[in-house]
Amino acid sequence: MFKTLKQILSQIRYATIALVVAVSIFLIVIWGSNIKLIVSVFSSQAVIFEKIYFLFNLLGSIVTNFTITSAIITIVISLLFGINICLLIYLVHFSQAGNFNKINSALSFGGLFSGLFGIGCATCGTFVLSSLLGLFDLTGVLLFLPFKGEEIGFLGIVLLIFSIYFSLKKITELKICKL
Amino acid sequence: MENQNSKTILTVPVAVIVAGILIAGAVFFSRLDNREQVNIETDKNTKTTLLEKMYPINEKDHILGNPDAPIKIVEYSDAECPFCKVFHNTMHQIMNEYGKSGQVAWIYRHFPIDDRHPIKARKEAVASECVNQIGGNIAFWKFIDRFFELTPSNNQTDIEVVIPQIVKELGINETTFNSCYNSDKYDEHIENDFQNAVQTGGRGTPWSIVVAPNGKTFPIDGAQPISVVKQIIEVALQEK
Repeated sequence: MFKTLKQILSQIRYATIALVVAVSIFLIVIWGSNIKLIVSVFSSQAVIFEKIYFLFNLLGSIVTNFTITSAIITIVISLLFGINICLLIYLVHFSQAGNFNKINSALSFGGLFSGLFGIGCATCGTFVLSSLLGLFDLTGVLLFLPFKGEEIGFLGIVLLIFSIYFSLKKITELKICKL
Repeated sequence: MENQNSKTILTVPVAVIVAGILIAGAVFFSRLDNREQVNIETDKNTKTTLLEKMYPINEKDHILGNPDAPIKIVEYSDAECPFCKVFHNTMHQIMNEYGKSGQVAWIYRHFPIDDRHPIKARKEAVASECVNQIGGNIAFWKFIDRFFELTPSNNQTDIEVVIPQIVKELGINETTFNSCYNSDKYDEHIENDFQNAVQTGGRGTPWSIVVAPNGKTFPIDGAQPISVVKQIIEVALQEK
């Protein structure tokens, strides 16, 4: 199964898709958690070069604004989601439309959703999940979890790994001539 | 064949669970959107943005640097938050670079996150206010600096040991301090700071607002790296 993954990712087209999706998810997490600041800077009198440079500068917040665990979860989820999308595109391309596995894509997006609930900017009290629970005065729920919500990020990783596993299984089946 | 059937049976509940997660997520997000829309609507009616709800810098505030500085950084902080500790050092570096020339003033307000740091964060805020009352603004900043230096964050601080130790180091009258510390004199002040942080959009600590010379505001969520803070200051300095 790893051989199949290696074969797919060694094709420039699919490796590029995986990389672009992974980087996009990573940027969404970093920039998304600073969107108000980005809007403020972009609506300022600063020159455009300075504004673009600011976006790159913000990437450093993965070091200062995240716990080690949440930084690792963010990077791993980004990479796994990139691989997932790449495999789903491969499946769509090489199988008939009817064979497209909806469960795989559901697992994939479920993994991304749950992963993103558990990560986000991890400053005190600002996990995406705690922000959402805060809307319903449910932030206390997180205090009962040993890692205060980071386990949702781990759930996302597990879902994404399942999704990759099922996709690879499906791709391997495609390569077999059935009776 | 039997094995395959069991797998097929399993896929249905898995799909249901995943669909449930997705629907729950969609509901969460749609409700979030509704809330935001309500807020925006309110803001349009009152013609203010969330950041403009920051109450003006006043005599109750703790200011480091030139009070008339063109750039003011208002920080809402929690003494038990590890990210506040990191950002505190960042802000000292900023003040070394921009504070001495009078370009930046740093204003410290309290934002104790009770859910994460119950009791201790608020008590530490009270202690800092009592030190300020007895020893003045310089003593306040020394207290905060020393507190972040000595404590492990994440509600692990032994406040019964650390607070008296710092109070003693600073030469604060202990009897007067204890009388203030055990009273509810500063509860309202701290709660006002907390509420104002929330009103301005703060959802975690540290939460900071950079105010440019023309009043334009830049929200800083969390412990951003020094390069980001410096760039915001440079951008804000152009806003005249």
